[in-house]
Amino acid sequence: MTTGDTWDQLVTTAFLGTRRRPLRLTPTTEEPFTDLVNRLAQCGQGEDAQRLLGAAALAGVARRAGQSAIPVAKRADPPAPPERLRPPTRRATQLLQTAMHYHRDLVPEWLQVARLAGVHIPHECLPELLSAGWANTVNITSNLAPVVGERGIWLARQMGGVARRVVPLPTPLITTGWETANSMTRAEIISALRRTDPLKANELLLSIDWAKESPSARNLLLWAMAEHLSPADEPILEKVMATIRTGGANLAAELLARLPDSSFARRMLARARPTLHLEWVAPPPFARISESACFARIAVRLPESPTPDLEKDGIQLTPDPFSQFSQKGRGIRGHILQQILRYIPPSVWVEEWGLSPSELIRAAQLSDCRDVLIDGWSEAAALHRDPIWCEALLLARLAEARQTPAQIMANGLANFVPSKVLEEIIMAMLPKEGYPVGIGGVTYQLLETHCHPWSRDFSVFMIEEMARCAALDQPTTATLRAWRSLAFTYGPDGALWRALHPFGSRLHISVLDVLLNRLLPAAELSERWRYCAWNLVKIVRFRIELYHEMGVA
Amino acid sequence: MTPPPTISNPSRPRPTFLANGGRDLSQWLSDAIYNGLSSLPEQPQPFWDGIVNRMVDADAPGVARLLRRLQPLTKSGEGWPDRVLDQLGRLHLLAESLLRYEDLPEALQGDIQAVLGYAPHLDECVLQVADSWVVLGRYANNGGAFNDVPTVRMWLYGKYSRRFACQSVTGPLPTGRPLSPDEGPDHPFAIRGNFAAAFGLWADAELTFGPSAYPLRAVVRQVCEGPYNMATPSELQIGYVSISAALEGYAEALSANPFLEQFPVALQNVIPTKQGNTYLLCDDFTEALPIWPGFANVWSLFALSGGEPISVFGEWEGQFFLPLSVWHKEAFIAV
Repeated sequence: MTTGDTWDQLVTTAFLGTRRRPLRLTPTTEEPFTDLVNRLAQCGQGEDAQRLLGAAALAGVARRAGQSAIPVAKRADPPAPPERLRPPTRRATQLLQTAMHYHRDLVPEWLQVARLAGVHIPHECLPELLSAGWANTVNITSNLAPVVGERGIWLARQMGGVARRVVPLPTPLITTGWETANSMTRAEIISALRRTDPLKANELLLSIDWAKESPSARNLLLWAMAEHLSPADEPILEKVMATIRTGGANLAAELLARLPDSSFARRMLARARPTLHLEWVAPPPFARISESACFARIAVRLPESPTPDLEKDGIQLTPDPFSQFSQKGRGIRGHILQQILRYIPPSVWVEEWGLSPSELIRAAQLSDCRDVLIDGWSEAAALHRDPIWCEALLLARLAEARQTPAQIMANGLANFVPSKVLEEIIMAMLPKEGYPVGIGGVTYQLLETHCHPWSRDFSVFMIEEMARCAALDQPTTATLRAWRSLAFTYGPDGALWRALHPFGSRLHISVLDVLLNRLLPAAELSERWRYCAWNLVKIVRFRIELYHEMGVA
Repeated sequence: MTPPPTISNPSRPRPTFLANGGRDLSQWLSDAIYNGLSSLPEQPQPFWDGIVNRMVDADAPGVARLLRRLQPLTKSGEGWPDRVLDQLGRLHLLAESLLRYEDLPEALQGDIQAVLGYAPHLDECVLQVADSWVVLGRYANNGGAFNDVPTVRMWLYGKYSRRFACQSVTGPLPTGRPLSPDEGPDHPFAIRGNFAAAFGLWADAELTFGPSAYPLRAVVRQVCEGPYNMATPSELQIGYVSISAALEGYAEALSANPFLEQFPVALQNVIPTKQGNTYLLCDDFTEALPIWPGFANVWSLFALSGGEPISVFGEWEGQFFLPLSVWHKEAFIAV
């Protein structure tokens, strides 16, 4: 009998209770624990419970003292290779740690600057940045992967999960692993091959039985195709469309639509052309002289009743009841036309009728089917990422008083408008009164959308605007009303900072003097504005130091 | 010389209170074993609260702390009776010691006071060591896991005396905004100070150790004024060269002080690795120590090591190792 057996006996008796099972410990002469086990057997002369506790105390200490090390098998993985990128300086490491704990939105900028400077992420920060918590904040592919270094790749292999996304696929897996790989890895193989050997990638894609793949696997593979899209992909996408109706069919249709010379795009255009006619209408009687010229209007002849080939091309014949915006009042034929328009690049209509996007939008607004046309073109502009159409549609929406903020921001048009244009729009809107304001307000939402680094002029404008609001600290402008509305939403103080803090990482770093000379004096009298102003200064100083520390101009 | 850092010292335990507490605890433990551990998970909250409160009243907050851990242990999954009996054994040893507290040698009384949650008093300290000390690591528990009293332990290492020293304090942790690394240390050994800034700093100081069969608990008597230098990994050629040697050291310490809860262990040239779901620290790939499963920063060890040997300092409590700091080539980092 050993201490291990004795301990098991003690646990069994203790679990059942000495009331039900009396304590029995057998003395032994067996080495090496003879003395201890015999002592345990003689432990205590009182009640069983006391004896058991005495034995447990003694055996517990003996177990702890006699704890042996765990034997380990041979080494599993080779160590990480030496870094090829430069290590960060101590200060640069501190800046990243400060950003991770206090200014999360500055982390992507740290990573971008490190990439420019050829510096890798400090090793002690790798586990946190490779964890799932950061995966949603930092764009792994574009920001993290270039600067994780050899150590990061080695660690990502050990950690698995989200972290594996920074690890490039090994060549043997790309060439021979297709048959056994899971859907995520298959998509990665396709991505890798499309960069190096597109013919091989297309061969693999053509060999897929799309009907047997799960919807998520189909989507992963199609997303992998979205990069480096070329006319050679058309047969694959047509095969997908012919095989499946759901779970990826929409995505395949979108990709086909993005190929301008594809037969899918031609079919869609052929369906749309007979339905739309541009007509010139005489002005109404008693019109003002400036409006006396003829104006264009789009006449719509809705498509005939649904045909099976429409469904084959991914057109939904019944409106989605869970759609964000109700399709009520458009009817099935209107709904079909809107989807057809979605797949046609909006620039086609400019060439077709020789009018600018804004003129076409005005013509559509006079149509009987204005919602079908405007919504179809909005979806098309976002799908084809057409900045001119996105700008025109956004301006048209902003000009309409009856549009709600959600309707104005729908389709994410603002994301595709060039920074400079978006800045001009915001600069024109901010000083105006009467817009819907608050956290759901358009002004603030547009500012939130404009997450690219701001130009110096726009940064100066924003600082001037903030200085004006800070000096008054009263709801006189739309901006201020938005910020005050936020303040009421989140509580008295700190709420203003919550609304303003994203701007710190977007301001042009050359505007530090403007912040110091304009905003700080203006914010002197308002405690909460002073707090925000100093924090903005702190963030801009932080960014200047980051560029300086990394040696990036 | 700057004044010593202030540590909130509860008053000393009163022997008659301890004896009463020991009787109470002994009876409660006997009842638990008599009725069987199987009945413990269904016990209502007052069953646990009653004995915990009686121990606080008996000047034994440390025993109350150990008792608070019992209830979660009964719901800790497979093998819980094993863990609960081990804890009951510890408590039994304490209960017997409380009953005989006044008859025990001074050193053992000091060790029991440590478990009871009393910091050593400057006037009763038996060993004074003036040395150059470095802050090697800090354990801070806000009490959440076991609804416990918040505890902070700061581990120091003497350059010439080659001794470890532990400053510990129980009670509310500092509240408010955490200090940023930019803000300087108020005092390297201030246990409630800015640990991020104090970590790894050498400071000349005089420490006094409380009575103990294996002296670790200390209070800072005097600290020389700065500037304080940052320790470099080359200065820290300390610790055990093998896991077996570390475990032998622990067994030796435990034989002197059976109440020892945390044993400071510095390990040279160990490599973090994963075996199944267990994370280990391996020496030369033959023997390993398991890392505490609740240790959140385990991947930091992997990141800093990159598969190469590193030196690690932490606490060994008989079953698991809790890493507190790592050093490797140029880096000396708290984890």
